Amino acid sequence: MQKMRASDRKNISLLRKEVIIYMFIGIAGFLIILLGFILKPPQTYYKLKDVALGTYVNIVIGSNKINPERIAKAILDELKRLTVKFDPRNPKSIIHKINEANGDWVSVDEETFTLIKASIRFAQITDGAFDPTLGKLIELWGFDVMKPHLPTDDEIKETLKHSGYKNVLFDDKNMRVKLLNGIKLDLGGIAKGYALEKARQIAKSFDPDVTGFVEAGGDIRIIGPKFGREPWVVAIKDPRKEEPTDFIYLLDGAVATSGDYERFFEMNGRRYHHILDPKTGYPARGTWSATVIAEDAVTADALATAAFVLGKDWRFVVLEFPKLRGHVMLVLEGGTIKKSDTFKLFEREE
Amino acid sequence: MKRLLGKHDFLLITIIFALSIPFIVFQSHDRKSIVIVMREGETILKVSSPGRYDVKWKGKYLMKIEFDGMRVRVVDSTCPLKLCEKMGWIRPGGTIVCVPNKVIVTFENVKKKYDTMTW
Repeated sequence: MQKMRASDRKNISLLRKEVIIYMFIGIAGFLIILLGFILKPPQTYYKLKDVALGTYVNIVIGSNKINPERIAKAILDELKRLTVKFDPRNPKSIIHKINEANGDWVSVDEETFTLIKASIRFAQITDGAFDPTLGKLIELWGFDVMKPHLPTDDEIKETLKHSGYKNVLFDDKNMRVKLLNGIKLDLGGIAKGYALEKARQIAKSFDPDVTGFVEAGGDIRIIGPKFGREPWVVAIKDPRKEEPTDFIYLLDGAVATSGDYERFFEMNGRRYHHILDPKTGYPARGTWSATVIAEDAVTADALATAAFVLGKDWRFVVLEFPKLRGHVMLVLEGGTIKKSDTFKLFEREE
Repeated sequence: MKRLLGKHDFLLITIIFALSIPFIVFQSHDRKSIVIVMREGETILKVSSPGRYDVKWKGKYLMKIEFDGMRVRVVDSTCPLKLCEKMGWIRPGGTIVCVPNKVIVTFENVKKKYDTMTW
């Protein structure tokens, strides 16, 4: 009996030790998991916020090889260079020079020639819904100097005669551009996208494995996945509320949004915004905002404007724009949302 | 019959849980809103207490902001069109940009469930 009790005591003691060890392992495991949630991966991204391209820019860069601050500053310098170069109101800009040439041929550099050609190409494939030749109309409405006002019907009709992408001529051999009919170029609907593509090129030239994104006035170009593996979570602004209306997950590519809330004024209860319909000369109606995801920022930027202008014919936009490599989400007047099926693929995290 | 766990075992478990409490408390603690004003990539003003503050760059007055502890707005600016003033109040997550003055007014370390926003 005495022997039995000693053996029991020994077994209980062993069992007790085992229980303690397992409990300790369990608690330690729990704490490690808890710490994993609390101490997320260290933020290694360098963030640079500034003003360029006439708007707010946010550069977020991560690199293991090059100081990300150096890359971000090089990108910002490039954005500032392009701000001057393509601003039609800046006398130093090439666009100002072309607009003031009184219909003569103007020799331009390769970058300008390529960008103007690309803008006309987008005008062609969207049947003029995107049109980079609305400079005079934008001036008439006062959106160029942020002093908008309502012109008369006659003024609009007269100014419309001096617009139209078919009035841009190219001399491929000598890299020259000529404007007919007194039109004026305004690359506002595409220059931001081009600048974001250049930003990505610059980042990749420093380090091919660089990650991050660059944002300019709400247009975003992904440079590489977050921490090299995760998608960046991009919220889409609700055109009438502070909270986002949707979220998309991007590992690569670009997204741009055109909305009637960016620059506008109201008169007699009606909103007049800066995205003009090239066919009427008035602000495009029927859409509150258009968001386009594309492989590159130039396509996203140009197609977002075109999608906004064509928004009242939303079936055409959501069905046809994916063929132009633009995946569209429209918020129509009144708040109804319409999306391309391909857009929905980006709403999943995986 | 002897108990499975002795008082030392309970003490050990208590210590482990006690150690984990600060992490949980730290996590759930609401951080105070801090407004930052930036120009050319540099923070030129940081505000954590409610009040009106002048924003200056190299001694030159650019604008005045008002912070109520939760929201911030531009109440005066030297820019010609005063678009930054017309933006009104913004909350954490929002940004006011004054293009002529090259000034950005925003909040520091805002916790959001997204990385950026298209608009």
